Amino acid sequence: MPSGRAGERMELLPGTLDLIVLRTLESMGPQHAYAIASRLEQLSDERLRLNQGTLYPALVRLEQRGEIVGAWGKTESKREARFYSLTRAGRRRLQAEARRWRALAGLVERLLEQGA
Amino acid sequence: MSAGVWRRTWRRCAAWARRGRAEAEMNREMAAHVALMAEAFERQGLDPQEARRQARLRFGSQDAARESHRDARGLPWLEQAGRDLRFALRGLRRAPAFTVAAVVTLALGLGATLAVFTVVNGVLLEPLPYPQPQELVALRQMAPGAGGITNGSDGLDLSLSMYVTYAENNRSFQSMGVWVPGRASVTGRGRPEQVKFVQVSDGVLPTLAVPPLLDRWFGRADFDPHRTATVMLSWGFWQSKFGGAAGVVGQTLDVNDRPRVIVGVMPRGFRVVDIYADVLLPITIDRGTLHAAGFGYTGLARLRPGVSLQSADADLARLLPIWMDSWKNCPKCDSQFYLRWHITPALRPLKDDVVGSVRGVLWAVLGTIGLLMLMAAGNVTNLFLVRGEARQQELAVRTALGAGRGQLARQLLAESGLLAVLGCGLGLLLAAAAVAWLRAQRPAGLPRLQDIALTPRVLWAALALTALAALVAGLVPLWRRAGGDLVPALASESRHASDSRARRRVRRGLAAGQVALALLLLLAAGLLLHSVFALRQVAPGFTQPRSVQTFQISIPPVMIPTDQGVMHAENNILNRLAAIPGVRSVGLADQVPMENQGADWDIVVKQGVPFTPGSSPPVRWFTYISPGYLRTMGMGLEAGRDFTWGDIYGLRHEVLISDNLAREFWGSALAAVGQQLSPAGRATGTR
Repeated sequence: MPSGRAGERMELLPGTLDLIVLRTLESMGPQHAYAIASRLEQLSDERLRLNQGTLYPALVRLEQRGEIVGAWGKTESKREARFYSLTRAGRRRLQAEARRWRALAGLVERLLEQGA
Repeated sequence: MSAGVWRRTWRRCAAWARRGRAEAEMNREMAAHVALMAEAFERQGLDPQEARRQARLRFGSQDAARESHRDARGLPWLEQAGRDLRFALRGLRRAPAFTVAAVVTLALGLGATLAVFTVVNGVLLEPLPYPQPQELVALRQMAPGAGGITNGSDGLDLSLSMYVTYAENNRSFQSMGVWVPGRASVTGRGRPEQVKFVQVSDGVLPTLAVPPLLDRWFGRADFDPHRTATVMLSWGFWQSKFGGAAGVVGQTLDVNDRPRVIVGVMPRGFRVVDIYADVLLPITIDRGTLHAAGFGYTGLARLRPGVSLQSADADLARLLPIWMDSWKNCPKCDSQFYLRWHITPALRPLKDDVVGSVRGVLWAVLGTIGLLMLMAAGNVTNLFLVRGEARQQELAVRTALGAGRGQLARQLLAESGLLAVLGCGLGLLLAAAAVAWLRAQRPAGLPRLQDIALTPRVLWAALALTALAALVAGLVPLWRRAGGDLVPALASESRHASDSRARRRVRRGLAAGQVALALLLLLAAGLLLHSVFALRQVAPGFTQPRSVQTFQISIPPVMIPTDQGVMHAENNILNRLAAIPGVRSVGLADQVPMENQGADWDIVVKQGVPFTPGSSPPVRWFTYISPGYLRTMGMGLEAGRDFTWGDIYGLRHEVLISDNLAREFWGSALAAVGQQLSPAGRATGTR
């Protein structure tokens, strides 16, 4: 396996997967599931390792809520793949979730500093 | 956000409905995912085979991914339920004897219970089909001093003068009226027809408050005997006689040979209290000719809001003296005659009046059937226990393989639920058949037959009983497993040892309960049979009712105006009937035994015993009969002879009296023959 232990293994907090997928699609444009999973691993410096198949429930959920749409297309290597892109509802959801996470993170941060 | 939730629910359903396509799509996407990853590994220098292996590893379990994809996409609980049901179906198919026994037991128990509940619901629970039915009351009054005129629990009916007094002076009612049912001949349109009518006074239709389907109710003028005679039609009669023609209002209909103008049509299903009449006729009242007596009319009223039955009773009690003072009385009675009757108003809700004494009987029958249902449920539970016994090992193996208690419960529930649904479906069919049969039988004494139907409330009851049966039958075996040890159940040689004390206690309890219930039912059935046998011992006074055919005729006065003419007509009709082959004897009477539709009554005394004002001689019922009637009904004479046509044409004042009256007045039937009676003054010989 080309990874090994790069720092501490991390567990995903519940509810963060949606946010991560939405943010990835916002910054990178339409992507297929493999690209999203790879990006996720890359961003976390390989500390976040998940079976890539576990991404699917989140994709199904987001698509059914109308926050992303999937469409079949071709990769650069002319292989077929399903590309997901952000909808307007998805963009709105991302903004709301981001605000929520920032507020929460700030709160935790403050708590840790002042508590020390 | 909530829009997203709704959209998701909708898409879940859509995905479930087209799960074949969604499945193919999913497989295609996952295959593409692995292929892309393998391609990336190849670019990193791995050989194709190793690249594919690594890719599959990084993807993780494809089965798990598919499963979670399905759960997120479709309706997982529905699919799970489908799987459980298919599994249960397989299990039941493998045990046909158990399945048939359980389904049939449940179907019989539920069917009987639902059939009786349908009757209870239609008769006792459903409201009467009038607006604000709780305001409607029946104007009943008790008159313990009136002897034979009162009619059991229904007491004393109203006279028209009473109605007028009450209607004009009461403070309790929004409206009130009186009505009386009867039969009449309709002629002049196709074949002559005998129809059921209800005669209604002013106030009955506004009280019932069911608007007419066509045109109008009777108006004030329709109750004036000097104005044009009018009639209203029922929906059914309008359909059958006029084909539902819209122009029917304003046409005339000959009722008892009297032309009447049709003023309106009532909607389908309309009834006056419990009578479905073909036509409605107005009770025309000429106040100048009214007497105090004539207690032949049933009263009904709509209470003003907030008025209680008690205060309405008091209101009418206040009006009774006014009534006594206002109207002419019988020739020899003083104006205070009715004081001795002790008339007291006893209003009751109209629904109670319709239901009558059947209420207690119906609840008792429902209770009895409920016991039967409990026994059936006990039996089915026992069947499940025995089956559970046989499946201990299977359940233990499944537990060992990792099935949680929840999963086992779900499977057992699926099985019992399937059985309950089958049993209940069959039970509903049985109940529907039983109800249809009952309605076709038209049992006398069961009111509101038309209201007895499988209404939503019955279906809800069926659903509740099904759920209960499924829960009990499904969970009892599981509950017994709760304390059960896995290991002895797994080891088949110790299966008998696992038949623990707790288990035996449950089965013994069930058996004891069933024996107790059976004993109770046996006792109830025994008592019932005893009553039936006792009833059969009572001699009704007539014999061989099966060979007696009855029908009604009425000869309208317009057709034959004189009494003599009617006598000849009736004699002719009887002679021609008697000439029909197979007819042994014929007779005529104004009512047949046990029909009890308001026969005549009068004060009857022995000749020579003067009527003393101030005393209260009992009133006696009487009925008119023709020669041959007694023989036709199989009634014997204790003494004397039957009437002859000679008596009739000779207009002789002759009567036949009951054995009871003969013994009361003269000591024996034989002694009574030839004596004289005096009905309200006139002298009459007895035969």
